[in-house]
Amino acid sequence: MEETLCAFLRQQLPQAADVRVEAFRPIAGGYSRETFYAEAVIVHNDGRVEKQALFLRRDPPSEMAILNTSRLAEHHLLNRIRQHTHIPVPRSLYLDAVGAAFGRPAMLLERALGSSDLTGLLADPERLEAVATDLCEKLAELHTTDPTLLDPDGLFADPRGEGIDTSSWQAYMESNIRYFKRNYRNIAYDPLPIFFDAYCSMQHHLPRPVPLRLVHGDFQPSNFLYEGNKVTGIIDWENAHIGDPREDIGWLAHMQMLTNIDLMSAVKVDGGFLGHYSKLTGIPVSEEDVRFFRIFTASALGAPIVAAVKRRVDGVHQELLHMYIIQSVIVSAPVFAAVMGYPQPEA
Amino acid sequence: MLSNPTAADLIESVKISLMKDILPEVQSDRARVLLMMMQTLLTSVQRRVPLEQQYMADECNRMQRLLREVGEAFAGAEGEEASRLRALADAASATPETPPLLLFAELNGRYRALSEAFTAALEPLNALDSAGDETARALLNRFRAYINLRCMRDMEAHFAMDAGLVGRG
Repeated sequence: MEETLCAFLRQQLPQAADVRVEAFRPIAGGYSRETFYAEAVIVHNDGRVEKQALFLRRDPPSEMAILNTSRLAEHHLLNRIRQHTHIPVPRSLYLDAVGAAFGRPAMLLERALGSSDLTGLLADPERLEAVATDLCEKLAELHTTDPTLLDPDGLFADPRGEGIDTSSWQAYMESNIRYFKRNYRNIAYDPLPIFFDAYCSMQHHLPRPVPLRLVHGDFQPSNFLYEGNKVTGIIDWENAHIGDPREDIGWLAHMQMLTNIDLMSAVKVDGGFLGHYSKLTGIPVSEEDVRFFRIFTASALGAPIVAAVKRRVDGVHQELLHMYIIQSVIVSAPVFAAVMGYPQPEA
Repeated sequence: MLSNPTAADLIESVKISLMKDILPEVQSDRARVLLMMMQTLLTSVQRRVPLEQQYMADECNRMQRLLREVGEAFAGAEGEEASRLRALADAASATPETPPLLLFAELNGRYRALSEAFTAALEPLNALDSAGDETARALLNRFRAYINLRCMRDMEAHFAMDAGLVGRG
């Protein structure tokens, strides 16, 4: 892989006198893609030596993929966000859209500045407030950016090909819920009554409509970087899509509960995260909306992940990771029960 | 409860990964031998899990019957041995009969079929509830209370990620 990367970089930089790859190593950077860190040493013709820290993200074989997402779409999106907003995202430097060089689709990202380790931040309430407020503002900026600028070609209208209709809010919500129910047979490695109940219940309890926007799709505590009092990078955009902006808030609320990293409560201005976000975006968000979108987003994000588990349980492949992920499904169920206000068990 | 994958299926996935992912990385002969021992022990657990409760229940009754028979056979006999046997038979008789357990595969199959029917019922119940049917609402609440129990039991019987999610981020 290291040699392939070096050859690929030489091909991308024909004007360079030499390109070397140093410090190459695979990293545990998520379940969905194979991720490698490397430092490209580029020797220019004038003798100048440039060092560039890179992340190589390559798709796993499709039958094992936790999420089937497009490197081409992610590559375009990162560069469009950089062009049209002030949201800090890593530059996507090079793309191998069809896997001509790396065997499977891959992209090379610059390493964004900042840290994702929140331990120090959580111990410093003032800094936590500043960073969480900045994160809220970055999210508000994403959700107030004209979606036609970020998605001029419709790559993000239904990026996973699930039959999602973004022609209106109502159509979007209904087509998603239809997909959840239709897809149940693809995820039910075992009967999963709580998830099926959530899908059946959601269609009868839709929140108020708001304009559709480009949403991050996995907006959560482990997907941003910070330095000092500022957010320096929002990463992992592979689930971005046109959707209801409250999905990102619901997922943040859901994940901060699961990870015990409370960013939303740290925002104080305008009465807190929801108030500040609503003031900046003009999108009203109630606690009830947050509860709805915790379930909605967990269902949307969970669908391909649990489908990958089912393929493992059905014997399509033999990866251990997918059996391990069943643990996450187990722990999600009582969370769904609590958010949906399930009654206590009978004696 | 999780009916698929079974405990044996989960163990099989660990055995496969040990051979496919770990063994090629193992350098020392001692570690390779230990890994093969682990395979044997895991196979033993895999075989034991679906059988032991059913076999134990069945054998409790078999032992109890034999002890009872021995007590009856030496009911009027004299001597230390006969008296010891009667005492052992009396003690065994004091234990209630053990209800027989279905074979695991059969119980698992029944549980799964009922779980599928139970899950399918949620769609019409939700539709009736949203249409204002009070009976459906009350039953949906009872279904949800049961699902809540199921979630709690799954956490107790299956959840083991006490140290959090490993290998992400």
